Amino acid sequence: MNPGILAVARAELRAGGRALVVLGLLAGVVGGLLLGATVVGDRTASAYSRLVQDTGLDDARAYLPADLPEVTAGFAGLPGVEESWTAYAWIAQIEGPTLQYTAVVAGPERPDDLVDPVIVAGRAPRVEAADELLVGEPLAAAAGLRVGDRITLRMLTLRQVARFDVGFGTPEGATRRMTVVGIGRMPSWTGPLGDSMSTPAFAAQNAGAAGGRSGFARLAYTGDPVADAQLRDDFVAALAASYVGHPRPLLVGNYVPEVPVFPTTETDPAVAASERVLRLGLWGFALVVALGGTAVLGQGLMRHHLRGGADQRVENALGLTAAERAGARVLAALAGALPAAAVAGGITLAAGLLEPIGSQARFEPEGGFRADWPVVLLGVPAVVLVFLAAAAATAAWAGRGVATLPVLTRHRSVRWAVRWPALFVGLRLALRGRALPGGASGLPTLAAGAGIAVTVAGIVASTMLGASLQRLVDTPARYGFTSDLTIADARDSEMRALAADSRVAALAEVETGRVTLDPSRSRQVDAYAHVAIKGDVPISLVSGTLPTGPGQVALGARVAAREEKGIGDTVDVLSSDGVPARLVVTGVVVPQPERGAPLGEGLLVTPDQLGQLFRQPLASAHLVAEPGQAASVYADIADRLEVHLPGMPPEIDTLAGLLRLPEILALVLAAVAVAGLVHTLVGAVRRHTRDAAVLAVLGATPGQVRAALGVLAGTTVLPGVVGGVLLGLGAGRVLWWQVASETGVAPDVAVPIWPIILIVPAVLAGAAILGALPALRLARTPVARSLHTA
Amino acid sequence: MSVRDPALVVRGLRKTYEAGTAPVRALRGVDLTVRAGEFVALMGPSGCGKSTLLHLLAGLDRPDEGTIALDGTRIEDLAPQRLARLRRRSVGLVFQFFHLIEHMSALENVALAALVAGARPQEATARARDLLDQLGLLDKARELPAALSGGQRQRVAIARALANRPTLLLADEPTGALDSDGAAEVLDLFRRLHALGQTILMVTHSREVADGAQRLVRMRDGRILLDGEVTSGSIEVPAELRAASGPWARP
Repeated sequence: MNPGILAVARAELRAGGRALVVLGLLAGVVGGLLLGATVVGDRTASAYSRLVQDTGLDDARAYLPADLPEVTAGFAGLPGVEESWTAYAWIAQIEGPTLQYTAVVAGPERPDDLVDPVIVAGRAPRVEAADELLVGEPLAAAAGLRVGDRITLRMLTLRQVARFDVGFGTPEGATRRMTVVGIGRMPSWTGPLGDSMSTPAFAAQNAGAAGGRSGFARLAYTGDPVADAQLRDDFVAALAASYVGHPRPLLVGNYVPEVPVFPTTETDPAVAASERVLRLGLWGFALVVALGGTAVLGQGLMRHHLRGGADQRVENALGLTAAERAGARVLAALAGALPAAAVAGGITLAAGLLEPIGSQARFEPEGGFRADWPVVLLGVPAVVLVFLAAAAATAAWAGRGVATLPVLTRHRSVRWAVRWPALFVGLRLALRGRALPGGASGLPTLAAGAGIAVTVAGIVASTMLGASLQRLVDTPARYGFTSDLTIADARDSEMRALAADSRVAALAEVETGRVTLDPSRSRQVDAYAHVAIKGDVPISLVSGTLPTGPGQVALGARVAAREEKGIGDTVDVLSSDGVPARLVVTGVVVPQPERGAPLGEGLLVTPDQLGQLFRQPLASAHLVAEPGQAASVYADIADRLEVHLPGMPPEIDTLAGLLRLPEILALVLAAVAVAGLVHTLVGAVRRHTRDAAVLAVLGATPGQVRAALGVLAGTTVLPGVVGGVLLGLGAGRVLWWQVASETGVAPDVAVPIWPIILIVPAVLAGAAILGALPALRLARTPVARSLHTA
Repeated sequence: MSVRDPALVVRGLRKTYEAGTAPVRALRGVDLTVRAGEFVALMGPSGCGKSTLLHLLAGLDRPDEGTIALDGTRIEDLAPQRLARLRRRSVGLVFQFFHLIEHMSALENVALAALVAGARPQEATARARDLLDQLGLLDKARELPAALSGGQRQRVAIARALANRPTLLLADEPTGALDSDGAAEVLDLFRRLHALGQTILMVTHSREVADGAQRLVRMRDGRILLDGEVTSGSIEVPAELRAASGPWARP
């Protein structure tokens, strides 16, 4: 190595070592924030998949009829099954002031790596204890159960379970006293898994009273999507075939789908929507931090190396090449690389303390600190390399003027502003072309404007997303919940009594049956029909019209998106009673989900059409009370009917958990924007201190000087702000469309007009104030000193 | 104003700077009168207070003590607004390092001074063109300062200083950053301006440049120690200073 390089590096260290350490610390903070966001993002995005892994989530699960032991016995031998567990299932009423049911699953010979909930409180039930219960988190929350609680389960008989939706009286099965010993976490507690688990001892004690069986299977997936899909199809066909030749079981048809579900491949749509929101939020944050950090760091390094421009001229005269001069400065920058690595590593490790963001925290299988070593080990060296590369690039840039003068560019014409000198000068300073010889170039206006535009776009998009989320959560009608009460069992006598009740404004019987949509693909959804009994219970219509006669259908929003069907298209359905129909789509709706169906699923037909499809559809009821009367009606009927207040479907509950995220993101972006503005404007004004002093020399009053600097500040930020608002409007619309489509609700976005309109003057006012601060300081400094020091 | 009226009257001017821990007494009681139409060269060693005096006279800084009357108006206590307005019409300033606005063309730099003083755009542009023409720079009117030579830049700066027909042209080392040709160009220009009746107070290190002036004022340690007419390369020392000797004597 040329000894001159080492000598220059030592001199550079002596002269600017402290500045390099400060810049290294800054690089460490920026890099740490990016790596930290990666760690949190990774933990958030992977929470669901890690929970799937840790709980041994089954690839396929199915209800198995308790009265057809042959089907249960053949489950393990279905094609593609690597290992399986066929558990017993009981439906039981939990004794208490309100009507609360639980589905308990228990059985012997469960493989260790299949359906093994993560314990978040307490412990797992002991195998030999017949009175211990592990309660799923959703049931624990709904019923207010805690570890140590003693509860009484009143079990339903098989016949009562079969009549669950049409009324069965009081439970006639055994009564069991149980102790809640743990709270368990699973990716999903719905379907054949039930919402609580007990032990093999419990199963042995109560097997004869089981209301059904549940089959869980690990399939021999190959990783090839086509082959795996074929494997699932074979599994479905074989399961359906296993029913052939046996008497019709009690638990099939409307209540229990014959088609199994595939939990590991059919991710909960609410999870997908949340992950999308979180990923976009974190990406936005990372992008803004990266842009802002790179701008600030680049500017700092540029200034640092421009200060040594004279030194580079001397070094050039002494025969050091441009590469050697830059190399010497990279060696010196190693002084900053060490603190950069330490700070970036520290922040990245500290980010391991943060739990997944928002609603995804409910999927985290391992609480507390989680070090993400791959990110630390790969990311920290990357931060150091980027810092050294930036040092090399800025040193080379600063040194390039040694040999040649930069080409001058023409300015954009602002002659129209010449009548107002402050405006003219401010515009001319802001709209300057490339760096001029001898000037500290700093960030070009375009780069500063782009950074501001990205930040403002992020703020606008976050604001729109937040407003749309808030509107969705606050407006049950937007997710299909148009009634005050839902009644699971719509018996005629009760309906007549309710219709006669003056506190009831509207009452509709909702008839439901299960249809296979596009029969070749075995996709099952619920078909609904509303029969008005009293008044009008509204239906959430997204687009088009409601069906008015046979042969017409309105699709649920998610069904329409998934099947890529629009108004005027036709869909083929096959009812569970074997009746086919071809229906014309008249609209898209968000049906009020029944029996835990996903939001936006299902399709709406007329009562006549439903009558053609099903011999005996299930019936529930939706009730709209007169204002202020819902609680009173509920209190009167809750003791004899299974009534539900308009709770929040899990998809909306998940999104409600993200309500703060757009606000936080907008606040973080606003903070970044303010920091960026301060840096940009203070830098811009400082760079033009001498110009402002010259203006004062020419007789400009202090007010004119401040006005010129204000115009400079405003012109620097205005295009970015306006562009950012427009960009944000588009980004917010796309973002919400994606979230709404995933969730199954109407995709029209809420645009908070005034906050967005106010962003422009707010940022401009902020810019004027920020620009005025250095201008005021400038005004207090004698012009003579400004001319000398600038 | 007639030729013999004072354009500038300075009495008892003092200025002390706080530089680090020790105060620097830049001016220790300066008295000076410049009559209309005079071309005065202000000489002295570095740090003697020449530039400080010039900046005080232009109202770019404020004195600790003493009075400054510019065009008959006392400026030491004027409010910043009024001082700015007075500077527009009464003072033109030329600096060693030009202090042009780099992002404006030569024409715009010159016109800006007139615009700031309230001239209409057409009027300001016409005046700037005229000045650049007189200074031989009309063909460079659209160029940015960075594209001009040092001498050309200084001539643009002088044109700018003259844009509002100031009573007093103050120049701080106007040839200090120029080569000999450029310096000669600028000095010649100053002589021509003087011949046309412009009052000029010029700070310079160079005896050769100072010889081009009509009157020479020498400063040392914040005081004026010599003030006399320049005659054929020598200086006519006033009687009251003629007896001075030792460090006060003319070098």
